[in-house]
Amino acid sequence: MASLAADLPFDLGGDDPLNTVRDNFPRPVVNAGGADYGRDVAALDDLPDPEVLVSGDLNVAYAIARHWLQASDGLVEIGDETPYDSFDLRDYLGKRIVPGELRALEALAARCARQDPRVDTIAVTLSFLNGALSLTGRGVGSAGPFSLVLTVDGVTVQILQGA
Amino acid sequence: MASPSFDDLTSLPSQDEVLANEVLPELQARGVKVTDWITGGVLRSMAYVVAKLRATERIAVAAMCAAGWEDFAFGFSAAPNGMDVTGWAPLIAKQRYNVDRIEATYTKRNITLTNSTITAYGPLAAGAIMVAFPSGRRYISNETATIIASDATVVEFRSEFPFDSASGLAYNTDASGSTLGLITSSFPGVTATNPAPDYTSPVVQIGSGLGTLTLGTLPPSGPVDPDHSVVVTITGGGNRHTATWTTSLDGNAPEDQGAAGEVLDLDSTGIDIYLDNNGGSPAFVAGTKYYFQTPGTDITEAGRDAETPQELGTRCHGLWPSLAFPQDEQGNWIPTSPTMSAYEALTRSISSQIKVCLVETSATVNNQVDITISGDGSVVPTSVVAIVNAFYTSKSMMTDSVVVYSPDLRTVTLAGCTISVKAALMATAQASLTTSLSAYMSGVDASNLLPINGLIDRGYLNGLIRFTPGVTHIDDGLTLTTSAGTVVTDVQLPITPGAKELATLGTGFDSRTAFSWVAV
Repeated sequence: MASLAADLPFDLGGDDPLNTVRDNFPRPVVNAGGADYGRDVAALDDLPDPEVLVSGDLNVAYAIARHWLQASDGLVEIGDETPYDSFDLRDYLGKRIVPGELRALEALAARCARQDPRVDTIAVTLSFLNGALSLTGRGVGSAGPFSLVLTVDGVTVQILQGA
Repeated sequence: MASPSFDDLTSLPSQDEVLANEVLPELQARGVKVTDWITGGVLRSMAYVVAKLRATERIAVAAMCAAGWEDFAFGFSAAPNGMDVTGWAPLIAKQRYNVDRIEATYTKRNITLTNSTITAYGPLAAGAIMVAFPSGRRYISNETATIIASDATVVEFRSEFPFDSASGLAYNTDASGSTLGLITSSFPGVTATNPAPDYTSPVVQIGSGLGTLTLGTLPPSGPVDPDHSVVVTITGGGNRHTATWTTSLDGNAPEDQGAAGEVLDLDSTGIDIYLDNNGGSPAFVAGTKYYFQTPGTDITEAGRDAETPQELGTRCHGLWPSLAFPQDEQGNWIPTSPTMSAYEALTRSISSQIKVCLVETSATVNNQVDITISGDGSVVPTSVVAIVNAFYTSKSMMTDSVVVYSPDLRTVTLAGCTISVKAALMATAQASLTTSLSAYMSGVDASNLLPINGLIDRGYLNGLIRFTPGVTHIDDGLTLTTSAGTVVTDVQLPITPGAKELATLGTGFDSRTAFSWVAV
């Protein structure tokens, strides 16, 4: 598993001048008892107003959820060419999903989540209830076991659980 | 805060450069609390978005800045950092010069529609018929037409789109005599062809006279061989049967046709030429030339690309003399038009010898432009005249025939003036006056240019003398002597009627001996 510190703030490789800037950034505080999951804005598909920051397990949950809510070329379009696996769960809302596709979608969600260096293993299940699609992830991160549930319906996207 | 330089405004930082040099330092300076910078992180993505917006905005700033400079907008020079701002050229041309860009035009052709049925079609509105050439390029009818029954109808067509050679729409390259497909299928029994006529039309006439050539006869003397060019030259003015003329086939030596009214089957080519008075009398003028070729073309109007930014810029600058003409190494504008720039062909050593130039249309030949060149107070060597002549000949101008001459020298002797001058400045004044009078009479006095065949201004000569430093008084005795006699007035050149004369004081002019000097 890639260490958290190695990925902060971001590494463009080689002698890229951005790396110098990165090195000058304040590093996250590393807890004596385990890995630090960093701190970011609590955003899924929109920015909170006023700004709300999340950290710890919940920050990882948000990071994984964004893998599940972003078109595959979303970052490329804004100029970030770093490999980033993602899909938009909302694209599947209201669609007929046969069992084979269900398994494939769960596998895709797990693969996207594992791209986050803070995630060691994760198992994902997809369910549909009361007009909402839910992705439930249970896994182990560098700071221990965690789980999260992301639901999308025709109106909202929310994390029901992230810990 | 210092104003940004031109380089600052036209630099185009990449998104990564903006991130490194502007966005991230700003975030750092503001002590941003976010520490999660893994790919997909919210603030990281926002930083990318801001950097992208900034980089895009810099492109807009650079483009607006560069487009303000005509060299870049008109494409005379490459804009900084690989930008192309020539798209601004039409706006600049209109705003600053009130010049509209010449848009692309259609190619127009005569296409023959042959109807094998006994049913006529039409009248058909323009655009109702479409044909395709083997190239795939298509043409639509450009006039209301009726395809008459059991016969052929010639209809003007225009290209489907305006000429655009960059996009492969080079309609002028479609050949005459092609196999045409009729796209519109509602005319059973109709076929389309675009045969080339036997001769180019109209016949190009260089020179004056109402007389024209009529080519071909009904019936013609025979099939006309293709790929010939003919020049008809009127050698003696008059009407049909009295005017004398020659023909030159394919650049060969002129063949005298005497005062014939027509020539049939010229040199066994099938070419028939008739002289037609066309209401003139005398209809044909000596020296006039007529040009035509075989075969002609079905194209009645060749299309052209839209005016390029460079062409548009050149046309705009042509409206502003200080921009239209090139400059020599001293920054002096070269007194020729852009298409007649002798400097293009002349070496610096030759061009530097030419100080005085007179351009005028010939009084005897309609399309002739006479250019007389000389040095200052002296003629240039005949070799220089020959080179300039050869240069203009090489230009193959469409209508103007340029002939370069060297003027005749007209010696003018100045005398009779009594000059009072301060004793201490005598020598200086004499030297200065010798120089100033020589400059004026040689045509290089910038304050009062005396051209070839110019008017020698006695008052100006008196002024030069009177206002020479040290001179306190002159009398009014200045005389100007030429071969026509001695006068106390202005002298208009030429002395010899019809000549081109360049004034000169003669060799050895010296104001000390030419005038009477009184020290005061």
